[in-house]
Amino acid sequence: MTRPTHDPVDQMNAAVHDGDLRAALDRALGLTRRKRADALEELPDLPKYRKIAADIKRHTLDNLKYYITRLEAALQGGGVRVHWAADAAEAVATVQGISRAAGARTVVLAKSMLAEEIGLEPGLAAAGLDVLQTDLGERVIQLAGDRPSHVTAPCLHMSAGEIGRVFERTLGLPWTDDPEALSRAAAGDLRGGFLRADLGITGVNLAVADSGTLCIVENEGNVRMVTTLPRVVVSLMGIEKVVPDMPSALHLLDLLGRNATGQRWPGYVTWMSPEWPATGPRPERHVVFVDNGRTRIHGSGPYRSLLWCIRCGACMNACPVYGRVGGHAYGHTYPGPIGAALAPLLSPGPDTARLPAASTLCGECGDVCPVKIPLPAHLVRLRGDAPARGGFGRPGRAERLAFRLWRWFMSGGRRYRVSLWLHRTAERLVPRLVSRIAGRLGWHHGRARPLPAPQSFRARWPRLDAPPEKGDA
Amino acid sequence: MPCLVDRFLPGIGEAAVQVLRRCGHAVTFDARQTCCGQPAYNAGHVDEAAALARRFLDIFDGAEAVVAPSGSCVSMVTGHYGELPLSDDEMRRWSALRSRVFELSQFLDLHGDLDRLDVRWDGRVGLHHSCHFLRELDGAVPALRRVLARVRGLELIDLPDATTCCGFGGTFSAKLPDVSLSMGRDKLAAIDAAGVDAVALADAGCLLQLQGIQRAAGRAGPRILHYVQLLTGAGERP
Repeated sequence: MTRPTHDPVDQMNAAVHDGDLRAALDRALGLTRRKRADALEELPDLPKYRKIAADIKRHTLDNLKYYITRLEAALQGGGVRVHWAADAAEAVATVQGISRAAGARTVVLAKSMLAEEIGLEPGLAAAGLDVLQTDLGERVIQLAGDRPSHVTAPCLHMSAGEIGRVFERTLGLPWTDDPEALSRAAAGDLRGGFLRADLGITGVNLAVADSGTLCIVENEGNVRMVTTLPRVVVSLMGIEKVVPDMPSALHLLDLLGRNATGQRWPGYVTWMSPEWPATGPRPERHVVFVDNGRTRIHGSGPYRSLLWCIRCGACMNACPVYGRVGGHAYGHTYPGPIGAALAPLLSPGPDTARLPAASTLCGECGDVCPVKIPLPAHLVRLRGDAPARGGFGRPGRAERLAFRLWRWFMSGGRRYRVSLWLHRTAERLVPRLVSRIAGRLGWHHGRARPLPAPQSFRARWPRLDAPPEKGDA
Repeated sequence: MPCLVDRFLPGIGEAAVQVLRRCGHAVTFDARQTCCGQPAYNAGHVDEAAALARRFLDIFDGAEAVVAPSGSCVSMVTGHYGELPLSDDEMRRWSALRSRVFELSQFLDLHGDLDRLDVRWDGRVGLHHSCHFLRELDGAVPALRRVLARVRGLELIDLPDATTCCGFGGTFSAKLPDVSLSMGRDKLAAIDAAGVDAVALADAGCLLQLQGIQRAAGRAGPRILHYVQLLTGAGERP
């Protein structure tokens, strides 16, 4: 098997020792968790809210072809051009083609994880376009030459002081860690770009099938600019973003803001119907339906519910592993529990092979997910399911052998007793060898390995069983 | 009996037997039993897990009730067995058996004569919610609280971040040892700060993780106990 260039498990074991990262994560996640809890407490019946949301997603994904076809027809009926992209390369080429045909030189990009997933920014830059990220967090990432570490808060891993240093280096702003001064500086820097841009690109949070209306959520107002100032507007959407109708969209939206940032409603919600805008000059509009592995996941059956995800980020905000290692250690566009499950399916390969191991299966992610994706169940299934992951992620030979041996010892009362005896004897005669083996298994410095009891429960049982308990009377 | 208890913590097993008998039940232990298969299942070795699930069915099919002092073993048997590659016949046997498999605190709450428990444990005890006990067993936490309320002198304290994992996670503790250790240390720090005499939890895995870290640090913090040790007074302070 090919060696990974970026092994997430090794990265995580290292990242957990980064004190600055931990401080940034604690600060950001602590606040988000509290705000989320407050925002959800207002809802009259959260379990029912979640069930309805899950039902909407299940129904839509179980009838994906019907709804995506309806959406396509509604968009086309309103004069919006629809493109299908089978994979990342096709999606990037489609946008390159649109920009070439439009003679575009400057592109403004609204925050989109899908754009990140398909590598749109480098793809457009390679085509000679001047590409500007317009979301503040994404702009920081772009200027820093970094990668987002969270689906809704791309530079969550950075402190305001670090952002100040990035702006000092790239924008010539005197160093400051005042968030307001930093965002003012970024906005000022972007203004010229907005006015210059001929092409605007957005992601899509929800796409309403029956009307062709696209919904985009944000907090800074930049989506308004991206969709109104340029001549040409392209919206990229994963095919799983479709919902049947407006009531479904509103229900999911109500949960999205609360779960993502603890907001009752996102700061800005942009709705673009195919006929938009009703008055004034209309931009040339394109929508790109991106597959990039989604139909494969859809067809795989057991993993379909991973496509219900609305990218709120609640699972990573709640995850004790993410909260200690941050998003970069996952090495994929999508970090956290959803990423640990989705990445090996979207991008099968050595770099994503061990991601499903990055969970204690504690279940917090499944508890918080607004659309009730059974994330721990997916992670467990993926651990044993190399075929669904292009053959990657098969446990190593040593582990397979160990579990086969373990099964043998566990498959008979006498063998089991032998295993107890061997263990106890080894601890008595060669404790240093046992210590080395335990150390190789991860139980080393900082955590004493458990020692077998001198007498196991089963060895004590005959004595427990013999005299009937008298204290009963 | 959970295999971790059998091997490492037999006192928990003895306490469970004692409490069940005191609350009016006859207890037997079938020495053919080994492990429910959970470690293999969680690590993705479903064939190995299924082999042990079959063994479990063979051994416990005839039992009136199967009781274990472990949230995760019970959730493995009552929940995750349904996801294993078992035959239709085995699935039928499992469906018939699963409603008779209980976590000890659930069983005591439903069927135990708790008036006969008659036990005292003086001290402040923080409850750590073992993950599977908390999330995969319906009503287990309230049941445990009701049972612990019968212990005289025991004051239950709500720990901060009580629902956050201790970091054990089976093979997780070996594959991501640094992350696992960090989670365990944070858990112990929260426990230390809470000013309790002991912490009660519901799974041997959490207990080995937290005790292991305490032991390696060479300092005594609040005692880490399985809740059943409070029900016999066995976990008395030294």
